[in-house]
Amino acid sequence: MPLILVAPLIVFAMLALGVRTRRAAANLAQLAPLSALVGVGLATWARLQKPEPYDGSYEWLNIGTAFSGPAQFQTYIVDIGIRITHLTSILMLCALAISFAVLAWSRVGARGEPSPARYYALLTLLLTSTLGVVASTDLSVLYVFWGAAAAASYLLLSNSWADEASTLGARLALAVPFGSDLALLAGIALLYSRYGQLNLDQLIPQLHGVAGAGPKALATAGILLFAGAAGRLGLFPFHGWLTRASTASAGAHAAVQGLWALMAAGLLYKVLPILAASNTVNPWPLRVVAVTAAVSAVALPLLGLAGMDARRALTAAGIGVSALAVLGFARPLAVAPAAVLLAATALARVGLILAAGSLAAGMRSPLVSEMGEGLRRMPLSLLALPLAAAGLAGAVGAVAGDKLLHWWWVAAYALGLGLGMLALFRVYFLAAHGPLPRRRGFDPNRVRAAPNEVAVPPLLLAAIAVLISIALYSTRFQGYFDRLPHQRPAFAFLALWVGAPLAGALLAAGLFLAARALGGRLTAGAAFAWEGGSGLARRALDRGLVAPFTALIALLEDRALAGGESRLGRAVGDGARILHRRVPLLPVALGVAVVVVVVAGLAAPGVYR
Amino acid sequence: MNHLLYLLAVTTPSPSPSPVSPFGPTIIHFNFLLSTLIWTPVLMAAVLALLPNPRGRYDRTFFQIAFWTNASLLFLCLVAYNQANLFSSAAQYEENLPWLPALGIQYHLGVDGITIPLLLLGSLIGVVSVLASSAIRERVREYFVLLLLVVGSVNGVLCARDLFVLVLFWAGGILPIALLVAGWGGPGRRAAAGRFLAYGAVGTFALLAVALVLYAATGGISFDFDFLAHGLLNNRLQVVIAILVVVAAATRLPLVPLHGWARDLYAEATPGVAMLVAGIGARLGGYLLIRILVVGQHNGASLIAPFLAALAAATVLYAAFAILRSRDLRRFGAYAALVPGGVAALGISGMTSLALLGATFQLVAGGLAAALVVGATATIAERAQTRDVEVMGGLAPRMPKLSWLFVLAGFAVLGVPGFASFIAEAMTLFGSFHNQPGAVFVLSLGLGLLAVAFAFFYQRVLFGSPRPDSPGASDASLGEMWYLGLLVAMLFWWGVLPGGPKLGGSVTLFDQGIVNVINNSSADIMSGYSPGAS
Repeated sequence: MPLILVAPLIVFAMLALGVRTRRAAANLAQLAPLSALVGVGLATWARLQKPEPYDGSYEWLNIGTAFSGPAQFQTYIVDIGIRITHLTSILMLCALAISFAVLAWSRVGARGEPSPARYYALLTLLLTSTLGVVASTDLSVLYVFWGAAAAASYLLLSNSWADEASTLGARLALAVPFGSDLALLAGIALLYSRYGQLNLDQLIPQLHGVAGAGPKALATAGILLFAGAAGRLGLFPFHGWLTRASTASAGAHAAVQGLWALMAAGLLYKVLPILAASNTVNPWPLRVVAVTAAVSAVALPLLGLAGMDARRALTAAGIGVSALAVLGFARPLAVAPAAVLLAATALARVGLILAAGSLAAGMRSPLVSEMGEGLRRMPLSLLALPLAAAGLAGAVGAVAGDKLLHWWWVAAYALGLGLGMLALFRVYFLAAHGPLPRRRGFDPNRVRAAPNEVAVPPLLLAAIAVLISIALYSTRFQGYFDRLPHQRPAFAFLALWVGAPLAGALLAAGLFLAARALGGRLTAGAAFAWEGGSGLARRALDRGLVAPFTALIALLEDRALAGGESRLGRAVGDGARILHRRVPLLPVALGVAVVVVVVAGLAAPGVYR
Repeated sequence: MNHLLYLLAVTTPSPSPSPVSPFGPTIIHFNFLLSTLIWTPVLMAAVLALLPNPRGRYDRTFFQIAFWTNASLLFLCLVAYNQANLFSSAAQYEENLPWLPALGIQYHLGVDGITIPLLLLGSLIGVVSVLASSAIRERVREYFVLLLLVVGSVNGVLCARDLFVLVLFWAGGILPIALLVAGWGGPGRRAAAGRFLAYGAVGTFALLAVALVLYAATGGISFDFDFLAHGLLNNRLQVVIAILVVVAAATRLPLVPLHGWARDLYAEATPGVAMLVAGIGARLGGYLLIRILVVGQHNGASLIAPFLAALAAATVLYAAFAILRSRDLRRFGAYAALVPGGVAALGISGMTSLALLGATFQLVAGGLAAALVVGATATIAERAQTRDVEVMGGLAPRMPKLSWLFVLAGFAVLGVPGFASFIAEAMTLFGSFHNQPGAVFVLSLGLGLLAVAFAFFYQRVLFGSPRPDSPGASDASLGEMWYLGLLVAMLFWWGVLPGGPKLGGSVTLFDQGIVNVINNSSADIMSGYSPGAS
């Protein structure tokens, strides 16, 4: 079982240290998912019909930190625990599928990447970290892989350093989710400070049984842990790092958002017992999950409708639909299916981004307004878009169910699905059926279908997402992951869950056919407003937080500190000058004697005690 | 003959607990191990000072002597590290000779789990520092004499079990460092040396005051740590002592606002001196906090902990903002080197067993990280022939090895998983959250800002578009790769195997594991601080 993590890590080390050429790096990188696939495949096969998970544990840290006080704080134990359940198997297999697809796509699609060895090495590190997060059973080990994935994501998105826009996006990708990673760390630290335990197997049974760990701490920890997942999923208001990253290479962008969605699914599934445990006395954690997911599901597709950048629009819409999967986590009975749904949406989102990357490369523009005639010129790449959209929206209804739904949950599902599909199909219609305008230095007649290495991987990923979506409608398939009974939603709800995305797609078609100019103006206006708002927020942040602090530092460094030091220096200098003068010996000696007496008197035991 | 016998009888140290090797009998067993660590560099400095050197003919020999002296110290420290008894919290390799019995001052040396890793760090940094000084061409003899004196004084501070002796070694290291900066530093060397002297004097006076107050308050009998730690002092006095210790430590660690020397010294000193001070010289401040405050003044430490936590968080936040406005690469390194000290101080203020263990580990890991970042920035500035960030740009293609080392240095300071600093920071933050949640949050925020600042610098200095007006740049030489690579290797080693390599999950191989060695005495000390214990 360690093969699953160790083999990709070895490949990463080989890529980072020894490989220079693009072809060698691309070939070697394939070994990472391949070797991990052997391990995951064997473990999955061995546990296909058995409910017990495959467990492995390797001691990393085992130290006694104290000999007294509560027992849980007398040791600090961190084991690298690996657990492969039915759910983690499917998450890992999805991660491997994404990795294979991105690596295959990158052979041609990422030819322009500077330092290909670094690019492939970072992709491998990201895969290893994903597998680690999904498999680990200890929160501190999980955070190790989480942190490694964060570093890999940042470096991957900023691989094209010379490109200013890409670098700006990468900086945002470093700064924004760092806040949520910090929340995750704070959540873990809070749990440790109350329970003295980070191994989930031992932590979860004692959530209510440890003195000093009240529901308030539990609820706070739950919200912080969720914030960690939400940041990396790109839920509102943390979406900026993923939408802005559309300036990076499509392969890197796709891998980052797909693999982080899987990691978030793994994290949410693991920590949900903590949120649920606090829910018995404090409903806030699950409320925060539901509200954040619902707001994201509606707001992000709207953002996807603003602006003309194809990958940005698809990313925003994709996150919106993924948020609907997160909404499933707020219902304890739907947790495992929600995690599978999140995995399916991750596959579909990667398919969308890779396809959009191919289209942008083929039509020499990332802007959807400059794309067109895609169905005729690049059919395979373009077909991936509706297929991935089907994979994204298809199974949301199966997980949403119909029981215990508040009216606003129903509204969020319906509105999110409708708006999400509207945003996705807007891109599809413009790129597939719109006119391909002639531009300076660009001849539409020279647009050719993308080679199979680039066109097929997104299509395959979208197809897998569709298959998982269809399977999720089977209650047996849902029960396979959590061994709980599941019910099929009622026909009326089923119709709603299928009807809402269809309505969104039809609305997009209608707008495309009847009011394209109006739609274009609306989109441009919305984009202008959004950009203006973002710019204002950025400037406010800069002026309100960064500038005052920097000014304060300047004041401290250049005035206060320097002034204090120079005053001290002058005082010492003056003191030294006294030595050169003729000083009255007796008063000085008397003064020194008085000081010595006072110090000795103060220091005498009787004065102190 | 009788005189000789008398001398032998007097200088034979008192018996000490025999360290037990985990893998059999001791490799080296002699009673002067710690004295050897302290006085060998001093003796070699004296030898260097007396050797004739007509027209700089033996400059290279001086370098070699300094290198081999430090290498042999490293070997001895490795032996000490490996033979440390993990089942005893008592002082090991102890030497105890009366020095000024009338005043209760003894030449008392000894090490425990907290000290041994720091000794190992110090000797490693000593070797690195000599290697980094291979380019020194002026007054080579004087340079290495002073460098060896610094190494000796650092080892003295770490090994001393008598507070008066500690103060002497503490003060003894300040002047050689100041002279090294003033004699071989950059354009602002005089100001840097002056600042270091001034702050050093403040710290030494504070420490001397601690020693005298403790001595007087415990009856004026002895300066021995074991004796002073068991004195029953009231809370008010403990707080006074705690404040003085924090002032002394803050001038060395350094913590804001007593950090003024660090900015100039790290930016102006030669790479070797800057790495020596950042790697081990500054860590002595944290060591002081643990040795005097945490071990001895339980209530004072607890009462002053929020203040110390605030200083720690302010230091990291300050460093992050200062880096954001810095336009000087070496100052960038100087500010980044403040961060590990801030994290260690937070761990000490955390006042839980895990936080204190993490803080001790952070002193070691942070020392490596600080030395690496200071060394990398100094080397890049030398190789790029400028320190002005505005002039630099696109260095990565021209110096790929140094660029990677610089990136790794940033990761080490930030505590990215895989580096020893990650484990230390995780232990520190997890452990401190119980008592100092606000400071943990602010410090983490500072680390986040620092990450952004690092990204900004990397983009501008290493990976941005090359500037046509920048001077020619060359990559690191083999020697530079060696010493910086050694630090990276140690950071990785302790990051991946903090508990030592194990066979079958239980038997440790050739390395006992740094956390086990640290914990050998810290668990005993820190039990009093475990949550719910007091």
